Amino acid sequence: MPERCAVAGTGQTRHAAARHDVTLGGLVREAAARALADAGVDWADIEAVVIGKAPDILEGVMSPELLLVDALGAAGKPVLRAYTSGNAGGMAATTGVALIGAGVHSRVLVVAFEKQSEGRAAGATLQHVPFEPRWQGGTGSLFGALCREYIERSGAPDHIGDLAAYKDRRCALANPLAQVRKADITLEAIAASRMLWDPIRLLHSSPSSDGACAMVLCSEAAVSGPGPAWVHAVASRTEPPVAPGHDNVDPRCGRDGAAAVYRQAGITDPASELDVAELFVPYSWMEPLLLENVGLAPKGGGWRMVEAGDTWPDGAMPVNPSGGLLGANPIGAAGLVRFAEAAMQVTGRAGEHQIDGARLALGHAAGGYSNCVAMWIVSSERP
Amino acid sequence: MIEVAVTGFAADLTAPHPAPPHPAPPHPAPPHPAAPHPAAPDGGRTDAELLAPVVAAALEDSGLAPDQIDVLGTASSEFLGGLVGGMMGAFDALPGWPPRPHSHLDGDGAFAFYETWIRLLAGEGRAALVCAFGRPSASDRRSVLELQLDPYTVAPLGPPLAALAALQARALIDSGRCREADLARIVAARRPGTDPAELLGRPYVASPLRAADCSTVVSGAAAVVMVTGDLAGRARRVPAWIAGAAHRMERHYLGARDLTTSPSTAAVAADLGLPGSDLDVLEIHAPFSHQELIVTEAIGARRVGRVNPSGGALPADPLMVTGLIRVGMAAEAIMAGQAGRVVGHATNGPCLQHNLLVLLEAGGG
Repeated sequence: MPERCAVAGTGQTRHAAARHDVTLGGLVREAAARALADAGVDWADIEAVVIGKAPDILEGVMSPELLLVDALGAAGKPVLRAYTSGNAGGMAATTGVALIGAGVHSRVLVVAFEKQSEGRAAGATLQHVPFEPRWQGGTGSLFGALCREYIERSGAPDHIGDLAAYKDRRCALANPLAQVRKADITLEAIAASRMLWDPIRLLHSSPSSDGACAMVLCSEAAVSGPGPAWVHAVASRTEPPVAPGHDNVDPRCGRDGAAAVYRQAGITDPASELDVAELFVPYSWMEPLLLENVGLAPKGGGWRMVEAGDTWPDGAMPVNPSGGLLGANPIGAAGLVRFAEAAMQVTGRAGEHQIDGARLALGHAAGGYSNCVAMWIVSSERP
Repeated sequence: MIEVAVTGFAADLTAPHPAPPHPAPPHPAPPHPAAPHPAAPDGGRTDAELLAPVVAAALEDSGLAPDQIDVLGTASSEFLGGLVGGMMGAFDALPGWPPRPHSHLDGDGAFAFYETWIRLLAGEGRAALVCAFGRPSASDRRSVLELQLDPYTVAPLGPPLAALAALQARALIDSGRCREADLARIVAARRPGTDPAELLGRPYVASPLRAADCSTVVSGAAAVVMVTGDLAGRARRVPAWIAGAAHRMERHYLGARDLTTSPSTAAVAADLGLPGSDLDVLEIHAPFSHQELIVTEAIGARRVGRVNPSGGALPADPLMVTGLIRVGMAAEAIMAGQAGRVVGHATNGPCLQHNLLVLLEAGGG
C-alpha cells in the first residue's frame, strides 16, 4: 500500500508576460517560498525536490535544475527533473506523490516553471522535422485542427469557444496572480477577435507567460499546520503520438487517466461528486472537448454544458475558477498550477475565486500531441 | 517494502561521427552480448531504430512480453537533439498501447531508473522498462552542453566542459592526491591498446587533460527491465535485486565547491552502507579520467573486485545514456552469475555536480 500523501501548501508567482525583475532562480524561489510559508515549513524541512518544466529550448538553458539547486535550498538533497512537455507540471506532482508513496521521503518540494520571455515559445514548439512536410503556424495549428474535428463530430455551434473563453477571462479577474485580467472583456470582443487557426481566435488563446508554481507534499506522519489537501488519486498516461488507436479529439490516455483516478478515489459519478475541476485548457475550444474526455460530460455533450453555463463558478460543474490557462500559461508550470488550484479549492485557500464548500477537486494537465496527461483528485478529507 | 530486481539489460553504442582526434583502437570482443560494441557503424538510424533492438533484447532477457510492462521511464536530452518534442519519436520503440504511466526526464537514464524504481515502490505497477537514448554525435554538443552553465554570468564566457573538468583535474593534482601518470593508467585500463607512456607524450586539449582523458562521444541507447518480486522468476538469468539507490545534487557554482572531492557521492554511499564494505564490481560514470579517482575515493569501499569492466564512459559515452549503462553493466555482472554485490554510479552536471548510486545484490527478494 503506498503511503498517503498530503498537500501541505502551495505557492505561485505573479504570472506575467515577462518577469524581467527576477532571474530563473528568483522566479522559482518566489513560488517555492510561498509554498513553504503556506505549508508552515522551512527550507531545511524539505528532503527532496522535483522540478518540472517544458523543453529547455524555451529558455535556452540546458538542464536548469542544475542551476536552480541553490535557489531552491536543494544543495545536498536529491533533485529530480520531470519533463514531458505541457503536462510536465502535472508529472512533477506525480513524481512527488510517488516519492511520498514509496515511503522514501516525508516532505517533498515540487516546483514547476517556465520563463518563456527568455525565448520564443511559439516558434520553438513547432519546428521543422527533417524529411517531413513543413507545417507552419505554431502549436495552435495542431489544436485548431482537432477543435474543428470536435465541432464536426459533436455539432457544436460556433459560439461555444467564445462562451468558454469569456467564462475563463471573467474568472481570471478573481485571481490576483493571473497574467491576463481585462475587466472590460466582453463576449462580443472575443467573438470578433482575429481568427488564428480555425476555429481558434486570438481571445480563445492562452498567453505566453513567465511563471512558477510550487507545492509541499508530505506524508501523513509529517502533516502539521493548517488542514492539508489529501491526495485521493493520481494517474499519468502516455500514448504514442502517432498510432492506430490514437485520437487527438478524445485521446484514450485522457479517458484512461480519468477512469483511473475516479476508480482510485471511489468516484462513480464525477460530474455530481466533484465540486470543481481545474483542466488544462490552452485554447477555449478545448474545454467542451476535455469535459467529455475526462468523463464530466457525455460524448457530444461537452458543448451543451458550456452553453448552459454549467462550468461557471456558480454552475453545476465549475471548471477553471482560477481563469485557467487563458489567465496564464507558463507552459511547464501550468499543469502544476491546475493541481495546486485543486488543492487550494478543497482547503478553502482560493481567495476571491473560492468555490464555496468545495471538498473534492480534479486537477488535470495535458501535453504533447494530445498524447500525455497527468491528473489527480484531492480532498479536504483523509482518504 | 516492495523488492525490485533488474532482470533485463541491453545497450547499443555506435561509432563516433566525426572521428575523434585519436581514433579509439579496435576493441576485443566483449564478454557478453549486452556489453557495448563501440565499433559498430552508426548507419544513420533514428532514435526509435536505435532504441527498438535494445528494448527487444532487454525484454527477452527478462522473460516478459511487451504488454506486461506497466510503467515506462525514459530519458534523453531534447536540447541535444535540437527538436522540441523530438523525443516522442523514440516512443514508437516502446510498448505504448494501451496508454501507460510514462515519465520522461531530460537527463541521464540512470535518474529515470531511480524514478521508475520509486514508482514501483509506490505501487504503480509490477514491471517497468527504463530506456535512454541519444545521438549526441549528430549534434553540436559542445555549444549545447555549455548551456548547462549559469546563463547570466558563466555561459556567456563560453567555457567548454572539458576546460571545466580540467580545472577539477588540475585541482586534484595540485592537492597531491594524483599525478598525470595515474590518469594515464586509468585511460590505458579503459582504452585497451593504449600505452600510458606514449599517452603522456600527447598534447593536452585542456591542461592537464588529454583527448584520451575525455570520453569519446557516440550515439547510443540502453534499456533496463525491472520487476517486482513475483516477476523476477521469469528472468532468463540471475535477477539483480536493488538493495538501495539514492542521489544528491551539490551546489552549481564551481567556485563554491571543493572540486577534488564528491560530497554528494560520499553522502549517498553512506546512505547505502558502502564505506568499508566489499564490492565485486563498481561501474563509475566518469566522462573524464580523473573523476574515476574522485568517485572511487568518495564511495570508500574497502575492496573492489573490478572497476569499470565495461570500459566505463571513456571509450563510449552517449551522454544521457551513459549513467544508465553503468547501472546496467553493474547489474549485468550479477545477471551473468559473476558477482554478488555491485554498484553502478551515474553523474550529471559539470564536474560531478549530481551523483547517483545504485546498489544491486544477487539472491535478494
